[in-house]
Amino acid sequence: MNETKSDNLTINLKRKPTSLWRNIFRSFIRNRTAVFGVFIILLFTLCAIFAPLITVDINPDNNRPAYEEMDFDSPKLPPSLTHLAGTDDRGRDSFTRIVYGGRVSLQVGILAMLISTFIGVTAGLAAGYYGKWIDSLIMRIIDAILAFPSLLLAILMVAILGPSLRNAMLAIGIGFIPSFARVTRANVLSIREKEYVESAKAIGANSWRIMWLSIFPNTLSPIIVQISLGMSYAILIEASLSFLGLGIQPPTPSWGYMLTTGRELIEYCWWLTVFPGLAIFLTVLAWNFIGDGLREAMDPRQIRR
Amino acid sequence: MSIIIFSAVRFAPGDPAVTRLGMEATKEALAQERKDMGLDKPIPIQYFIWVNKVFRGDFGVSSAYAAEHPVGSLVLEKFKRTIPLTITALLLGVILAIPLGIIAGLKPFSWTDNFVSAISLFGIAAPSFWVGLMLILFFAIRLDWLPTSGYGPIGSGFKVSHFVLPSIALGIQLMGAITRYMRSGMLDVMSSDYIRTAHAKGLPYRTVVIRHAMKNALLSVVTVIALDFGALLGGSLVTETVFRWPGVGLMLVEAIQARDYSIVQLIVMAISFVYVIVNLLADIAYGYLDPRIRYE
Repeated sequence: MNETKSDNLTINLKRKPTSLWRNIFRSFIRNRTAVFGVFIILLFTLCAIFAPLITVDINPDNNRPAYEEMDFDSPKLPPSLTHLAGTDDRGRDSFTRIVYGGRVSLQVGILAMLISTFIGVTAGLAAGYYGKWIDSLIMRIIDAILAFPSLLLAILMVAILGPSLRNAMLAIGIGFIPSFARVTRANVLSIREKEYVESAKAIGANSWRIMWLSIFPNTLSPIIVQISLGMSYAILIEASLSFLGLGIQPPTPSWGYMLTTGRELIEYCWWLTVFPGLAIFLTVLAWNFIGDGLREAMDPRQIRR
Repeated sequence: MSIIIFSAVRFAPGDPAVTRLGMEATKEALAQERKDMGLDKPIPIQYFIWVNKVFRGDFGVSSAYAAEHPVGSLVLEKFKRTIPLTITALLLGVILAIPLGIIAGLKPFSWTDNFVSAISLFGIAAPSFWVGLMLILFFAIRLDWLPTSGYGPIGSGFKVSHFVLPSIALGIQLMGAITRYMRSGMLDVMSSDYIRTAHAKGLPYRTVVIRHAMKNALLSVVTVIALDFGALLGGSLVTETVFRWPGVGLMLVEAIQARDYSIVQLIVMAISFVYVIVNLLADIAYGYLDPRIRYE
């Protein structure tokens, strides 16, 4: 034990001091489940981006996209080599639809997180930095959003605005503003009192500059963890919304809506419920792994395994 | 006394939301009612006006159901079916999660812990409606043990066999989250000084774990259960659709499709209300369970 310690010490002395982010990266890639999560997300993302290349291409006869390609000669086929995940009641290839459905899932997750991160972080920074009535006002609004279970809030907003991909993203994004605002605010409150903020004030930096250049970079790590966990919830909620018919509208395939079709045919075609659900499950699981991995890597108090 | 005062303050932030929500939903469907409710007045007054209306049973008129059926009693009827489902799921989740969390927390990073973590991750990551579909596929279709959907056989009333799968589907989701928190709660507690003291004075292992450790680990779990109750309510909306369970969730989905906003509004408000109340109760329970915590 002592030997390894002194070994490390000599190595560290010879080398340039490692940066914070490099250390985080190191301990992150040592976490097997987190790397597995990254692998799955990369795989699904690549599949979504290159969807036309790995699935049946556009039919030259009628120019329909592959996921809409119906083949009434082969409806309700169980999984086989030609149809990896079987076909549905209209003879559409389920695997193709799952791959294209991944695009929807990814899109909703990313855009919803952009909305909630941007608004939530700005609100949290302002609330934490200015304090006083700005703080109370912002936090009251945040509390108001928190009074609703997030799925219910999303359902309500989509019900009012009308079901579409854009509204689903908006609804999910707004639902996650509170968690970002709270995390940011809590960190700003402690960072605000640090010496480097004081020195920034002393050299006459304006509030905007202090907030974004001095405080914001130091709140980044909890925000990043929040984003990856938020991705998993966003994907779950999107799937729930489209399962209820409140997400993206057919014919564009989404995992949630595929499960609706599967529900109708559950007594005849098991593959229509198993595979789209498995896709949701794996994506959510992967984001959870990444989030946990990041939290462990970024939190110095965590016990090393 | 201090608890009650805290509760009132804690409770307040939720209320304008419920009110505002009511306004928004009304704006779409009932512009006239918006005026009647007096949006120009300060929020507390608005709130009391609205509460007053609700207590008089005035929830607006449903467009889908005939006028002689007041929306309030329609929704109440559905709640009577949803509440047993959520309570059973809650009990199921808690009863499974607490022992699992304890055994995982006692031996961290052992194979038992890894196994339990795998189960709880499944509960967290698998959407409850998909778990529901898988349960239908296996127990209702493959094995033909239980009915696939509905509230009871057609023509007759409620039957327990219809109740089993939906409550399991919901319970698994909750179990995942609670197990996780129970485990980390146990981990924290087991390394604390008073546990060492309890061991040192020669108490049997069982007594230390159950009387000293579990009780304290449960503290953090109470808050989590309350927060996850929201996810449970949300999950029940979707799970009801999967099992065609004629409760609030199915009614909400049908009402949205029919653009029946007074029902949507009432259901959303009612669920949010339940959610806020449960969180309030959790705060009170927290103060009761841990005498160190006093709300000023």
